[in-house]
Amino acid sequence: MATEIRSVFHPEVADYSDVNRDANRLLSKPGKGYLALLTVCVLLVGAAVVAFLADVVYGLGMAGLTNPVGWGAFITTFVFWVGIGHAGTLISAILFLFRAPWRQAIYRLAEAMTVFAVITAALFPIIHIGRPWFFYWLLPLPSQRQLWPNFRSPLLWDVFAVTTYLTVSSVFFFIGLIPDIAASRDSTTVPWRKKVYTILALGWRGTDREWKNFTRAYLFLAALATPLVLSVHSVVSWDFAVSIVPGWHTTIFAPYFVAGAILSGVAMVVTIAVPVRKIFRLRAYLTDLHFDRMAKLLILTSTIVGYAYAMEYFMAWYSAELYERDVFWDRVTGDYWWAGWSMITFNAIIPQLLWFPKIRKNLNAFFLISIIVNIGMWWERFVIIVPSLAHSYEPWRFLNYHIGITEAVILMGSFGWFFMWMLLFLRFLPVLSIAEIKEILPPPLKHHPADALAESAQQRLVEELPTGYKEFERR
Amino acid sequence: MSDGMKRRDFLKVLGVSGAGAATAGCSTGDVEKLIPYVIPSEDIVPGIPTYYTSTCRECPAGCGIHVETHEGRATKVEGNPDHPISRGNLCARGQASVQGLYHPDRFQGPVTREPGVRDTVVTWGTAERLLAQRIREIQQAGGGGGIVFLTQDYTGTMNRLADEFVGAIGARRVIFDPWQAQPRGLQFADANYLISFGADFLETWGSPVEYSWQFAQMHSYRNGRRGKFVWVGPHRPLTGLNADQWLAPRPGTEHLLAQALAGRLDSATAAQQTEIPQATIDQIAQEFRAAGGVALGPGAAISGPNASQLRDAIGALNAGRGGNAGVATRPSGREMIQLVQQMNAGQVQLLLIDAQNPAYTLPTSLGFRQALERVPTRVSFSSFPDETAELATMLLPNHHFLEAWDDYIPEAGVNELIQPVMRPVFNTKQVGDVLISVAAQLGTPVGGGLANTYYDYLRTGWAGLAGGEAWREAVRRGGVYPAPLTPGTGAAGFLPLQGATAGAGVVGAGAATTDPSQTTANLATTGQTGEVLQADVQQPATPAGPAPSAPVAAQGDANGNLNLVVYPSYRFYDGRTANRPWLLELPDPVTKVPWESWVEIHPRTAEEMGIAQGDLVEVTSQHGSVTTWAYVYPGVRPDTVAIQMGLGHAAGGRWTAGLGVNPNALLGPTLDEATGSFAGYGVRVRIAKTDKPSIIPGMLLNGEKFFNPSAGLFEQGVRVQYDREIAQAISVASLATQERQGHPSVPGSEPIESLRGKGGFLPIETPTDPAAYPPPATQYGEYFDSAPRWAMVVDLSRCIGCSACVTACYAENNIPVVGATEMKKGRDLSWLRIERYFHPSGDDEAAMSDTGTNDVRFLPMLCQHCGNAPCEPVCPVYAAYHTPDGLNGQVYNRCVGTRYCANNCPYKVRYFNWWTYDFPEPLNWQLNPDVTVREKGVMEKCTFCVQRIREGKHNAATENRPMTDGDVVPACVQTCPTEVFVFGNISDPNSAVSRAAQSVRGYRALEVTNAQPAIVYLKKVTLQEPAHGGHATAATTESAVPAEAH
Repeated sequence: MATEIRSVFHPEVADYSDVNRDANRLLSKPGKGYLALLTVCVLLVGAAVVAFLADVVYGLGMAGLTNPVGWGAFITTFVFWVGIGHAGTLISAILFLFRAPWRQAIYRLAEAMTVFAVITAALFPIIHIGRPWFFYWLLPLPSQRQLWPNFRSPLLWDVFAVTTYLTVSSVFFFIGLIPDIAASRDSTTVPWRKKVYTILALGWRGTDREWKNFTRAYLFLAALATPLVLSVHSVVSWDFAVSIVPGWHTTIFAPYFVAGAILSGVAMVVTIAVPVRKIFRLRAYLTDLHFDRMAKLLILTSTIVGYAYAMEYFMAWYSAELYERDVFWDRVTGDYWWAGWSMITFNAIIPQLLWFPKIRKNLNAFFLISIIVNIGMWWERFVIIVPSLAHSYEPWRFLNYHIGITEAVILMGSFGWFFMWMLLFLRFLPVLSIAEIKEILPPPLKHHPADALAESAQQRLVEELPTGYKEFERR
Repeated sequence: MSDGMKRRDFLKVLGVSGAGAATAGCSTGDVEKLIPYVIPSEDIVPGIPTYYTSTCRECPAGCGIHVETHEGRATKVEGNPDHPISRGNLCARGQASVQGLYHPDRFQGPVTREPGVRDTVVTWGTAERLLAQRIREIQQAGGGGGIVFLTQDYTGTMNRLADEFVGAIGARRVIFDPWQAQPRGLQFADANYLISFGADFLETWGSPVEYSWQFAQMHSYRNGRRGKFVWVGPHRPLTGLNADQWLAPRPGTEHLLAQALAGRLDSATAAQQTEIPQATIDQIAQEFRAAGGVALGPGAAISGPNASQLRDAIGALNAGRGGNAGVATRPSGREMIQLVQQMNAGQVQLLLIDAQNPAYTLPTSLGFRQALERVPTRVSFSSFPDETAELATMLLPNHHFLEAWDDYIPEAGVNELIQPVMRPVFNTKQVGDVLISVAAQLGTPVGGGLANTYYDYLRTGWAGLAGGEAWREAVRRGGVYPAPLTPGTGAAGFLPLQGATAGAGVVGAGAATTDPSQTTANLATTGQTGEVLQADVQQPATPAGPAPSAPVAAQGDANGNLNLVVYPSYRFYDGRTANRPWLLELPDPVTKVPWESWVEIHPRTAEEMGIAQGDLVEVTSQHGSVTTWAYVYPGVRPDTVAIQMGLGHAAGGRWTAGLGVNPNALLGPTLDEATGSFAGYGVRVRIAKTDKPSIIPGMLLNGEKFFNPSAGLFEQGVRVQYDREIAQAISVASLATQERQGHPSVPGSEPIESLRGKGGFLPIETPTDPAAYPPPATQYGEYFDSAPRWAMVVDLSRCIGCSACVTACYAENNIPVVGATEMKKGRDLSWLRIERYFHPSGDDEAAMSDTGTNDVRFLPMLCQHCGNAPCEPVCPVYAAYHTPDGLNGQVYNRCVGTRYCANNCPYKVRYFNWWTYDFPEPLNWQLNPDVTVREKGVMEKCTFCVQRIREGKHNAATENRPMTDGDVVPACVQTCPTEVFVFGNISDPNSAVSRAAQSVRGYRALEVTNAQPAIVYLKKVTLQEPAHGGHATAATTESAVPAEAH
């Protein structure tokens, strides 16, 4: 009787060759369904481009913005996508530093999502300004007239935070890809793919020295990216917290936004991972265990967010500040009560259902909850931005906001844009981290137990070991 | 040498093509020909405006004006400070007069037309020849009487010419100008007590600019006391909202109240008839007597068939005060009815019309339009496509008054000149010139044949008053008139009015001056007594009133159950200024509804009838019906509905035609038999909600439909302050106490102070002391100690909410008009706005209660130019920055449009250019060349008229002197009829603004934000303790609305 050793995370993956096979299987010619989805995404992007051009040519009046509500769906969507972009770095960098072995299978997906989400988000500050053709004035470009941007403005901090985050997460994403692209290069038979992968692999040959440098570089980059997880969304939150608008001017905004970002990011990972696992038949890699862990992360962040909601209301009451109290009262009883309540329900209450193992382990239910959280997190940003502006200090200018057509189209287009990149990624770059998944698989032995198995096929015992870095290193 | 291009050639080509590219690259729009002056005019210095003196003719008040022209184009109209009527101020209509001048839909030249078939553009020569030919035909047919000249109530030279003209050609003159006869020149600035019987003297009645100033003098706080103003009428227009007490007698019984107050009728009977408690009548009568009050009236809105009785009763109230407030009106109503009958009978062959649009203004049921179509030749002198001109067969467009020579006599002793300030915009010709030319062609010249032009005719008439050398001075001053009266010199007496409006020519009137014995009759010292009043009753000169038990008979049919009030509009007068986009965009001062008509319904009535704000209701009288939006308003009697005049034009240009409803459609051709003038009051109407869905319940746009935000009523702003204490008030008694004790604690800090006991924050105190500038926490190098700190004091006790400042701001700062749909999205760009709060609390019900209009607060809100401005640090590109002289600068060129500054502005006074707005030619001629026209995507806001600040600075530098107080006058400060604003350098302790800022009434709006604004508001002063914040519903004055009147 032979004993076969498997990773507890990937019990269905027998050995390294499985990983190579499964990861490279995706890098093939796409089917009709894929192309249809991609077409939809591109059309959405096209519509958004038309809508944006309408905004530019005719003026921002095309959007539904009003005088007190100067920021609406555009900034809401910006914050939403920046938030989505958080889970990737959290999973890839922070969990890497903490040596959480369940990260290996999903981090590539999450990281790609991060990069694409930030690319999406970065469009919105340009889209939303009144004269987008002058957006470069926000950058500290040397100017003959020595005109610098205003370093006191949170919007400028935002520019720095988002560009930094985009740079670091892209580099991190790319560095991590190098060995896997090299593996794809070696396995692909399509000539143009081979050419592209050859360029992208930067001549990776998998020598020990390369591996040594690579792991160091990756570690440093992970350490560099980790503070960004906290800083980016803190800075984005300061767009609001530094102002004096009641409902924005709150000290808890930075941690509150970070927690919210992780909540929405994890939810988006789940939203993407569930169909990917089903369509691309990656059950062996994205296992129930992964989803279980992510559900727990979701519960944690949802609870933090719920605490922040409660704390906001407590502070509004405790401060005895008329304007603050009015704004928060207005959020749940005023014209936007539906948005306020859907935010609380979707983000703080519904995710709590994941405490029940039955729901947590039911992927369909989890998928549904993740979508609800995604919607809820968009509403959260909406509720923070719009009702606060619609109901601030000056009563004469209490006026509501209704989303305009171009805003709605551009919002849809941002999803098209994001998923367009996501779809391209799925077919052109290895979704599974070939190298890192191998780290938690039992290493191939000279005398492979499978050889023994072949002798007595009837008798088979699979022993699952909680393999991971520690086990790996101990070996 | 090579065959290639030589170096020199290369450089030449490079230079030429480079210059060409640079030139082409620099042009931003269409290439236009720029023709410099071949021989420059000595008077015109490019960039330096020239001012002309003239007279505003937008209403009969006749305010003296200065017209600013830049390179031969009028850009702005301002009051003439030397003038006794305008005192340097002007109302919104006057400010908007340049839009009449440059309206793109004006008639561009003479036209003969077959209405509805074809228009033929002709020359003036042809037009005059055709007109003379037609007159000759009629004369030869022996029907000289078939020629009728329908005119305004001309005064001065035009009156003389018109009479001479009709005499010369054997025609007949009919005068139609219903409100011309309202009394002007009344003096009540020093009165302590004022009662107005429906006379909206702050809006249209008599001489609004002059009366607004006088009202502010008598009604604002001075030396520990303040005059009281009582409003009598079935609803509260703007003037009524400024009253301390509102009496709403049963419609048609106003004269009984006046008689009771005058002691001609016992108060018990009056109370029974008028539904006003006897105690209230007695109290008012007693107060009126004790204070030696002044009564004004009757207003046009409450002039019914018995208006003359009310007029007589008001005369009795004013007896012994040197004149009668209510002069007899011209019997134009009877004459018009006769004219319509004659037109219908085919007795009129030719009608020359130079009157204010009778086809619109007359009650529709009179059938003027139909009658007019029976006149074979209809000549309109209107320069604008109004309803009357639409029916004309010949259009001879008149000059705008800014293009013409003329004179005007609004009141005795005030002889005003009107001079052209620029060449005519279109091919128009003055009526006077046409008359002279036509008369000459007919061989019956006017003016003894000596005057070839109207100007000559005018000079001849003025020879006695300002002949020879004096003429130049008269033109420079804008006429011959006395200096303005100053308050406190006994200006409360009435000037004599007889003759002022009787159409006396300049020559006849001569250099009439005011009688000093009458102008010095001070109410405070005259001490009216009951005996005097009793004696007045027996004067035979004033006809006794009828039996007091006979209120005006209701005209309505059996089903009619509501009284109708049709009242004049502050913005559109009787409809004549309804084509000015600025005035359409200006929200009504009371209802805050722009671009629309509405019917005012009491909340209780509305509730009983199931009508909500914004519902479409049909108002039907026996004469006709209109369908408009319901406006639920507690300032109207429950048994009454009110509709404003002015909109509902069938013609009137691109903005006006088809907008709103014309309430004249509801009126009948009823006359006040005693005077023969039209009586629009006393009609009864039914109202019914129509089937169309209600769209926008005004206040918060809750039900706005997603794709159809355009339809429906839009009420700007809110009715209550939500406890924000933005517009504050204080009672006279508390104020007197505070003045004894010195400045109280920081207003609005009371809850904070109680918090401090528990360890809370204390806001940085915002002192109004000039020594406190620059305020702490604002020294980031933006201030220079040597630079001035521009600041403004806004006295809410003087503000009547008229919004003249708003229109002045539009005119000065090139603010575009955005239209109704955009206004509903809050996208108006009104840098200065007047907020109108019915109630200080957050309690909508209190604001809608019967006492809801008793403490209405008006608040001009503009950029506060904060010392610690929230907008500045958040701008990523320094478009919002702080100037060394304390202004919040806004660099349009640098702005990228993040709108963060607007979000962070607690006052919401920053406005974003959502589009690039259109100024259709020639409306763009009005644009002030000193102010940038902004493009889409740029934030803008009040600049304290920085162009004027710079101009003042440059002038002082040119004259080598330091800037002094008064060098800089922003447009709003300049025009305010009640002189609400004080502007200047607050770091100078001697400036007017720093002295005014130290009032104990001073506070700053939203002090909790620590923005350190440069604007200090002075609290409104109420007679009784105001309801301050909170949810207290205590009213400042008694309610006049009967609890269950209908």
